[in-house]
Amino acid sequence: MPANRYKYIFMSLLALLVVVMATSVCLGAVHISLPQLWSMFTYQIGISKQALFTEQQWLVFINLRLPRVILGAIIGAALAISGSAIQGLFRNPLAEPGLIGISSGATLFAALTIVFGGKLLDRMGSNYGYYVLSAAAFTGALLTALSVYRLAMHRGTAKVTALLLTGIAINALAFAFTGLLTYLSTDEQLRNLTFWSLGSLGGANWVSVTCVLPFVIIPLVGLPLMGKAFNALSLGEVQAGHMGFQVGRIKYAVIIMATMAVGASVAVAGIISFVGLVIPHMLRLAFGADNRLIVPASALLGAAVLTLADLVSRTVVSPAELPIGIVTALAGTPVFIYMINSQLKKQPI
Amino acid sequence: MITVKQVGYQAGSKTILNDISFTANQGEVLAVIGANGAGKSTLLKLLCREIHPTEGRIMFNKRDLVNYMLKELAGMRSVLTQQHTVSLSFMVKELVMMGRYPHFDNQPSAHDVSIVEQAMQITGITHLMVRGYDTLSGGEQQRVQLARVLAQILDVPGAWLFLDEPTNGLDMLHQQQLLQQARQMADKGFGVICILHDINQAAAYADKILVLKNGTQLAYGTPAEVVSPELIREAFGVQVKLLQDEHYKYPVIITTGAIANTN
Repeated sequence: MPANRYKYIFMSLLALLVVVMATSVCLGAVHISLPQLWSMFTYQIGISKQALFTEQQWLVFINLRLPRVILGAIIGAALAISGSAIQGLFRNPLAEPGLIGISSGATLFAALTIVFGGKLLDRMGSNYGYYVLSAAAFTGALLTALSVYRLAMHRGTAKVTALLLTGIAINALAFAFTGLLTYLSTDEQLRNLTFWSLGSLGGANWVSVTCVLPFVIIPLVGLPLMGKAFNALSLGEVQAGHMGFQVGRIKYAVIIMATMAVGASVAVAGIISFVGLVIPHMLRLAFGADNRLIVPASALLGAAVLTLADLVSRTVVSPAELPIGIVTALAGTPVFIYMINSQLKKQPI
Repeated sequence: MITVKQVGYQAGSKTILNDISFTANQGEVLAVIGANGAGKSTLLKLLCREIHPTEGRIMFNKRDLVNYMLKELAGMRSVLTQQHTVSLSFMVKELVMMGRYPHFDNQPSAHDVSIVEQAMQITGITHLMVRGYDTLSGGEQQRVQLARVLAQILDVPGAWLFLDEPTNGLDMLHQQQLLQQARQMADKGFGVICILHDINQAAAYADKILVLKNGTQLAYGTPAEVVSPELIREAFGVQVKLLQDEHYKYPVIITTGAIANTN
């Protein structure tokens, strides 16, 4: 019975994602109507000989809109699925990838690259510079996540509270260094840093899509397989061990996969807040706690929500663009406060 | 059969358990009793392989416990711990189904569903099955956890049930019911190892009693062999009197209030 129910939920979320992506691809400075979108599809695969769209529309669609919408969907899925996995792992519905240092580490390394690697980036040309920035952000994410994990290890096990506290400490340290860097940076570097730390999908192209995809595919496939383990972990780490789950390995795998997904996303799109935190929560409120549903469903809803947020961010003040981090934070904060409130009502502490 | 051979456990320089040896058999209830800090929970952790003995060996069916895979162990013994907080709000039937996790990959089979129903019936929680776990009382949560633990091994002949102070937080009726359920499991051929505080309950429901004091084994044997005023005084530092009653086939003690000067 739940299997069927889950199927319906997945199908509905998938339908939502398709609708949002189609809408987003059509709207913007150059408008594309739905019949034109359909015509592009049929014309390109050779079903129809007649093109109902202009050359300009096609170029905008294939070079700008489509990669951007796909990138948004990939990153939304990556952030939300990592959020749900980290919440499952830490047995704490208010946890998010940022808590164990992934985002702050990525920011610090990106800032280092922007401030000190400026000349290097210039000489390498914009395309390579882009890769260098991404690689640096990813390295930073991985290094902080791993050092938080190592620091929290004691006698071969990482206690979750120790992980969270160490994460908070390392976050503070990384933010301090990032702050220091903003003092050292020039005006232009500062603008780069600010823009980057608010997040944007503005740099989307097929290169960035193919850059991110490999890092995101593995967690998108791997994390949903761990739904049962996350459910068992909600009983406690010891109890999950009694049920045959290798808690140590699971922790390691989840942290690595979450870092891959979030690190790669931050690398190409900057910091996009609240998606990883809020999406799993919305799903839990609606459909219950079962992680076998919540983890994969988070990927679908995260993809849809971020695509929508990006649509807002690039149309609401058009022709200028709002950083997407501002949109997600503006929409996410009220939801987050509502969540804290209902949590407090349930178990007042 | 579980054989514990001269097992000791040290944490740092502190000896928590020393030279423990006993045998537990399927079809029997083994009660572990002792004062606070006597090492009962450490012994249970060793049996669950949460920690490894620093001395001696623990054999499960003549094979060293360290040689089992975690997954194999999950299929042959289940553990009711004392802590019952659950971080997410699952429905009761979902939580009991978690007991079947070692037995299925993605979707529970019809067999898993029927085992879950049986486990809920045995523990008397069928009427709670669609309730949220976090809306239940402490005693109800305890019974839901017991159902989950039963569901894990109910269809595995000769499996083991480890219970850590299972009567904590239950009222008199549910304490008796739980111990009866443990007894019935043993009578069906399962092995039960149970940490208890109440010596009378241990004497009434267990086949064997293991008494620990300061990490050493004070006594091991049938209730009739083990439960005596002298032993209770030594283990707990409490003066007790043994009641003889022809209607009880097991010894019953009452405290006489006086605290003995054992140390």
